[in-house]
Amino acid sequence: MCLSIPGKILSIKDQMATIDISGSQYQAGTHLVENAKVGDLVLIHSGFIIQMLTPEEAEETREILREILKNDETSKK
Amino acid sequence: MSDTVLLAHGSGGIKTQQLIQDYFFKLFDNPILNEATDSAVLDRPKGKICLTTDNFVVQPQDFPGGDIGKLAVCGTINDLAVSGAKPQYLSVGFILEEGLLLSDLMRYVKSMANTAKSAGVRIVTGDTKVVQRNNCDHLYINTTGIGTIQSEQEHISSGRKIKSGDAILINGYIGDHGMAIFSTRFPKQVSTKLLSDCNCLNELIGDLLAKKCKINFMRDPTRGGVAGVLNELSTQLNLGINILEDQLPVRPEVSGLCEILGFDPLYLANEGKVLLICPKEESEKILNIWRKHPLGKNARQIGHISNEHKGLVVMQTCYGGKRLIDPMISDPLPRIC
Amino acid sequence: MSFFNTYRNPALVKDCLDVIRTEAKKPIKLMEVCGGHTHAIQRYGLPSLLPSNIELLSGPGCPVCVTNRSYIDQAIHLASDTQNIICTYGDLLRVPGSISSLEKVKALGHSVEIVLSPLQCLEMAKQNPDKHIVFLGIGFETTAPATAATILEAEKKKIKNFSVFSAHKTMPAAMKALAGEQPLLNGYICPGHVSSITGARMYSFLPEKHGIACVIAGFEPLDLLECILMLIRQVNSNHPKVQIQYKRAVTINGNKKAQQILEKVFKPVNDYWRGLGRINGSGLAIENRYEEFDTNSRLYLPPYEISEPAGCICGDILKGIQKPNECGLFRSACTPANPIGACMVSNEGACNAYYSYKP
Repeated sequence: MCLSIPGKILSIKDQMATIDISGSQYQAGTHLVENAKVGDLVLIHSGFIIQMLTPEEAEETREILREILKNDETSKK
Repeated sequence: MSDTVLLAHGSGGIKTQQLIQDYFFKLFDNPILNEATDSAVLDRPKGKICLTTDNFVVQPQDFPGGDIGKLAVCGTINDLAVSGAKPQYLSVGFILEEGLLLSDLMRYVKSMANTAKSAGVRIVTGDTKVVQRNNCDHLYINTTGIGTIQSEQEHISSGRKIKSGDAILINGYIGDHGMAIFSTRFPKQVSTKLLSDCNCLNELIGDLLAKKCKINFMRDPTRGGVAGVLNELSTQLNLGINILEDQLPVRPEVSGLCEILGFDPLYLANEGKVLLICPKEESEKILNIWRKHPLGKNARQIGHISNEHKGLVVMQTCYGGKRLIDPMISDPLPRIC
Repeated sequence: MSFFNTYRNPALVKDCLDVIRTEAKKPIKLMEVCGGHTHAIQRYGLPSLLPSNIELLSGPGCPVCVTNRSYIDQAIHLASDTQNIICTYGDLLRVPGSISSLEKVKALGHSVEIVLSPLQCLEMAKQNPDKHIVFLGIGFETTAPATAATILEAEKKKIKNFSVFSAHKTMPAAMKALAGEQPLLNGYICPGHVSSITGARMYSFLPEKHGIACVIAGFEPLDLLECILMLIRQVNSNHPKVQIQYKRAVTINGNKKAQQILEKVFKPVNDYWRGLGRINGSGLAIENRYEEFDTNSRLYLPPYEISEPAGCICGDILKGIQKPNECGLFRSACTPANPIGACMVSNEGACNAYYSYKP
């Protein structure tokens, strides 16, 4: 469902990836994405990987958020 | 003996006798059962008795962490234990499907015998019927249990002593059984090392009774989960119940699968958990006793009884927001959106 | 996993809420169009945390809710043929048609199977060569590619006893239709996973033509709060545009491969949305080239009439004109156990989320 948390690809065989989600494994098709490989962070929906994520992107979002909050601090002053 | 259950095993003839002798008497072995009477003759205990019954139709019959035999013994023992009773005797009724492997039956019967033995409970009478193939799913088991209860524990199952401010405790992680069973339905899509928490709680609860802990209510959150029990209670007694999201013990494997399947661990079944409500000042004592027991290592307080929102179960989210915890309509279904 | 620490960090949530409270100076109406967002917002209790001048409306983004009753009726018709096995996501099982539901006909012995992935249908087709497997394709751009990829797999594996009964829909067409009806709407919380497929570009007509602020959000509490803050800032600066909050999953152009598969297998058609009516070009039908996998071409479907239950205001709720608790049926005649309107049916429907999560 949409509240999906990212999973990590453990292995790929015949276009099907085994994905770790907090210690449980889930099977998802790699048909909808390019170059999925072991170790990638992915979003899953209805049995398929729908998007690749990178840890850097997650880090970046956190930084952006910090920036937003900081901007506000400065604008208040 | 042939390798599958035949209608003849339920006919009352020689095959029935063989089944009773070679399986039930041999494994459940105790003096009361061995009398082989139509009714078990039991000593009259001091004080009152508790009587409970439950049917077990779990599918699959073998699941990670247990099987239908273990569940059938634990389930009834737990119903007695959470009422504040000391479980003593069980009866067992089997409905077997023609064609069930006798080796499977043997495994379930062994599992029942071992579970009952380690819980200190005797299986003293029983019945077996065999139905035609496709008229049941392998086997169904009914167990009825008798326990003894002290007068000072009689209020526990009704919860009539619950008052505002009381603490709500649980003895460990929620949702393990429900998710372990669910994962077997989609073996190619989902795999997990999760085990059912299926276990007898009489010792864990007995420890509290022996140490004279003040307990206002106990119930095992099986079908319908923690949300089910709390909603039943809040409706029946018109109580306001507050649950703290960040205190709910949920294993990462369970919460991860919940996210992807659209489930809420609060609604998943447990088979080795007890929800306990006690006076606030008693909670530390109970938690300390529990944490020394293998089945209570992860015990904690998950909420309290409130003066507000009577008749409703409300969860305080990790961020201070509030949401209503509804009773479940029917089994959770996996969903995409 | 560090994921939760990042996006569910209570201290950061508190900081973010403080900033929102400072910056939200005037009344602002925002609509989340994705059912997943509706659910997350309720699940984390966000409405009770946000300042009262920020109003959140729930839009038409729950695929089950906007699927018309006649689709369920037709699915039930298909299930009643013992030649067919109906495969569906769990979402549709309890949705009421005009007289029954898939759950009820399953109880009567018809073959209705729940799947987690449409690929399971292909396994089932192999295991049941004498049966026809019908997959009920519901959902938006997030789920439709999974259906499309499955059809391509079926073609590759030369599976002949499988077809898709498509009720797939596309989101932008509905958002466009709603924008015209909602003059007071300040901003859209744009769907996260739909956008991860389609990309952010498709929303540009909303700020340009309708003056509506658009931010694509993730599903964690901090995602949603950050999105709301970004929308507030757009509204304050009176400069609506399309922004991406959910950067870890969404780009301007989206998932090209998924888009190509989607375009290859499906074609846009006019479609009927429960509660909203007909929206041009908003449905996805299977391309002629793949008609052997189209239930409409393969099996007989009875004609139907489209009707809405009496007294139900789902249409206005989906448009954001009314709230669930303003409906005369809400919590009395219409409950999750006995849903009348579309929005009560699914877990992600606005009425269901309201019923379940509002203390």
